[in-house]
Amino acid sequence: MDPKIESKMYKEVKVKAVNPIYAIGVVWLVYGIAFPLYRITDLVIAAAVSALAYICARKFLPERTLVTPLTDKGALDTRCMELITRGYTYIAELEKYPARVNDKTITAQVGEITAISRQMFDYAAKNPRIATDLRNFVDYYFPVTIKLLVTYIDMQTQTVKSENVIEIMAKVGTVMNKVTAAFHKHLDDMFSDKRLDVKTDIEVLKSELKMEGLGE
Amino acid sequence: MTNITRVKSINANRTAVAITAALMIAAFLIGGVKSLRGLRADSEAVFSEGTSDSGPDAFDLRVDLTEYNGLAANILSVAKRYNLEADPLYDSLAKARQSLSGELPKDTHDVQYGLYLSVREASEQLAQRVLAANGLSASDREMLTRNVTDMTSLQTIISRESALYNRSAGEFNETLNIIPASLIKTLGLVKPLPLFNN
Repeated sequence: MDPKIESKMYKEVKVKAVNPIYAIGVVWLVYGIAFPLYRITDLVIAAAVSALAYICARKFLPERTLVTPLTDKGALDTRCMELITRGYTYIAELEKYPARVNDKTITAQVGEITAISRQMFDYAAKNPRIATDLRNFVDYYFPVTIKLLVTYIDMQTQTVKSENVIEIMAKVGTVMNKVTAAFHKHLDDMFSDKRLDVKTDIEVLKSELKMEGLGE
Repeated sequence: MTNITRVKSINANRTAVAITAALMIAAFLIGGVKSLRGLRADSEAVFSEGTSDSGPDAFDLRVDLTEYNGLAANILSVAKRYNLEADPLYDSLAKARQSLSGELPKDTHDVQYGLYLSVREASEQLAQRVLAANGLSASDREMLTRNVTDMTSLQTIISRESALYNRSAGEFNETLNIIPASLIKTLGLVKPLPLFNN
């Protein structure tokens, strides 16, 4: 997996090693076998030695690094991971086209599409539950958009612009408008649930405040 | 840190703490029992092996008691020669001697002390009875008197030896009553030493 993509889905977490804790027990056991251990002073000495062992172990045993999903909702399952990875791959592919298209409008639209897509997939990486909503993009919208852009670039390289060539380029320009609008709408829809949740929370909060006599 | 990672980390820490606590308890029990049993054996050895403080005339309590029991047998022999076998004192001394010379269970020095007192008391009384017997020959009188004198001096040695043992055993028992050794005693892993007196 692309390290850049991976870094969006996972993060490294430093966890203190537990071995120093075990070192305390081992020191006690060795001390108990080798030395008297029936007076308070014996216990104090054993405690001091084990504390020293703990400090040394903490110093010399490194913290463990765990790779963990960024989300708090649980680990990303394999299918979600694959979907998001494919999405980022398409976005990276799309980002190459603005430089190759001569038309400024289409260039701006492709830039907008990639920005929206990146925002959607970043959000999906942190909220795997909605990742499946992006399947249509990965399976259809991205490949078709790329295919249209490839066609457009192919047409723009034609030295003689025949009627058909001009029509094709015009149609691609028109459809790119619709694609951009569709991406915008989907991004907006992704937050509709959130908006509903927030709206409900605000209504409940208002009711509570009213009941407590703290609000209108 | 996510919930899953946090939970895993907490679980690992909890497991480590639990295992470490178990190891510490095991270490205390192993180390404590080993040390205390060693101390007990050292104190016990004062009874059967004596100490450098025992003095030039004494060996140890075990040898002294055997010798004392042997001297008591001489009184029985003389008493038998003068037909005092029917005397209840003869019988009680014979029985006490037999018990004292027999194999006693471990950790029964207090019982042993009781038997020693029985032999001592019966010996003294039977010796007086024999000395008062009619027709006691001069040689037997002399032998009996010397025997009683030897037993008296041996009693002094036994008294000194028992004081040494009791001091050592007392110190061990005192140690066993102090925390944390008392926990091991409470668990029944190490027992206090019986003293050689009542």
